[in-house]
Amino acid sequence: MALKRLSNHEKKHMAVAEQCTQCGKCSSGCPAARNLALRPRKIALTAQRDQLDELVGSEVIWNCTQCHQCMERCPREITPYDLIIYLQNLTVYLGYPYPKELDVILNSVKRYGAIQLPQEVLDNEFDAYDRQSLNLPLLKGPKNIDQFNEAIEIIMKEAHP
Amino acid sequence: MSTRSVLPRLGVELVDPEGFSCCGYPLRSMNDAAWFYLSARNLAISETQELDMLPLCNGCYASLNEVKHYLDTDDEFREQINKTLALEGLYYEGKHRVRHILEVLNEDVGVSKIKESIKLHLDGFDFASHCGCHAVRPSDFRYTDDPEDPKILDALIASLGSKTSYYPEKLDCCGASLIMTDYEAAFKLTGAKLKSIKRRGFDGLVTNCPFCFKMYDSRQEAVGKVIHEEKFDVPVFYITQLIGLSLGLGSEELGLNFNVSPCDQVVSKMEDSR
Repeated sequence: MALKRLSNHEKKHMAVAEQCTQCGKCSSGCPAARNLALRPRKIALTAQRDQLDELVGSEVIWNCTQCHQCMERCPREITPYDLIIYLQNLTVYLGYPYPKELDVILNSVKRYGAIQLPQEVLDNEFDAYDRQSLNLPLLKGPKNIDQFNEAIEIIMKEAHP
Repeated sequence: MSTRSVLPRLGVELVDPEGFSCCGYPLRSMNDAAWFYLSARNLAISETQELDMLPLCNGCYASLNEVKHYLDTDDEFREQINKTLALEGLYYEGKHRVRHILEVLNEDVGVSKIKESIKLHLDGFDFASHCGCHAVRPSDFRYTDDPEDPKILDALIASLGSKTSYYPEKLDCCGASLIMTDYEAAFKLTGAKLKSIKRRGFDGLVTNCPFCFKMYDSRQEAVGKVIHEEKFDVPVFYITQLIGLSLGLGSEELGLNFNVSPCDQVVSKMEDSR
C-alpha cells in the first residue's frame, strides 16, 4: 500500500489552480523573488494554465528558501510553497537533474543519522575542540543503523509524487 | 553550549535521549516521505523520555511540529508511519509537545524571572533582533509569536536592558536553506540583512536560531565576497549567549570564544559597565 501523503500534492495543486486570484502577495513577500529568479505568483499561474510540466526539471524551483512567507500571507490560504515542493520531489523522482548535494545529505543521513558527523571547532585562538572536551554529549545517532536504513528505504519507495 | 549553561540556571532541566537523527527537513525537497519519517522517529524517541522536546534550530522545530500536526490529525497516516517506525522498535503516540526556545524562555521561565536573575544590565545597546522564519511561520501549525510582528525575542532582549530598534529587513530569511544547493543565492539574502544592520549602526544581531546564527556569525567574509561588500564586522549573538552574559556567566561557558564575528568589543563594553 502506498504511503498516504499528507502533503497531498494533487489536491493542493487543484486548490491553487482553482482559487488563486493572482493577487501577488506571495511574490511580494518572497525573499527569492527579491534576489533571485523565482516568482511564486508565476508558479501558481503556471498551475492555472495546466503547464506545470514545464517547471519539472527547471532550475528556478530550487531558488525557494522555504521561508513559508507565501504560505502565511496568501489570502486564499493556498500556497505556491506546496507546489514548489511537489515540483522538486517530482523532478528527483523522474530523474531530471537536481542539486547533487541532496544525494550527499541523504547518504550521510543513512550512514550517520545526521547530515554530517560532528566536527571539531576552532576557537578564536585557533585551538581545536571536540564535543567531549566541551562536555557536550556525544551524538551517537540511531541505535541500529541497519534497521534505520531499512525504514528510510521502505518509506521512500512507498511514496512517490 | 550557552543554552546548556543558561537554561538550568533558570530552572529548566535538559535531558539528552539517545538515538536522535536529522529531523529530515533538508530532504523534504527530495522525497517528502523521508522527511515525514525522520521527524516522526525523533518525536517517537523523545516520547520515550515522557518529556516535551526542545529543538533549538527553527528549521527542526518547524519540521517536527508540522509532521506532528499531520500525525496527530490523521489516524490513517499515523498508523502507516507507525508501521515503519516498528522496524526500529519505535512507536508514536503524540503525548508530548515540541517546544520552541522562545516559548520556553517566555512562558516557562518568563521575562520577570529573567529580570530577577540578571546581574548585569545591558543598557545602552541596540540590537537587531532576528527570530527567523520558522519560529513564526506558518502560524497554522504552531504558536510561537505573531508572524508579521514578532515580539518575544525583542521582549527577552529588553528584559536584559537593551533596545531592539525596528529595521525593515527584520522578517527576512537568512538564506540558510539554500546553502547546500546554491550558496551564492543564500549569501545574497544573508548579505542584504547584514548590510542593513551595519548601515543602521546596530551594536549587533541577536537570534534564537543556531542555523541563522551560523549564517550571520561565521559567514560574513564569504558573504562579503559574493555581494562585494568590504567588511561587515557585525557582532552576532545567540540569545542564550546574551542572557548568559547578563547572568554574569563567563565567555567560555557561553561558547563566545567560538563566535567568528567580532563580539569582543561589545562583551568588554558590557563587562565594563559592571
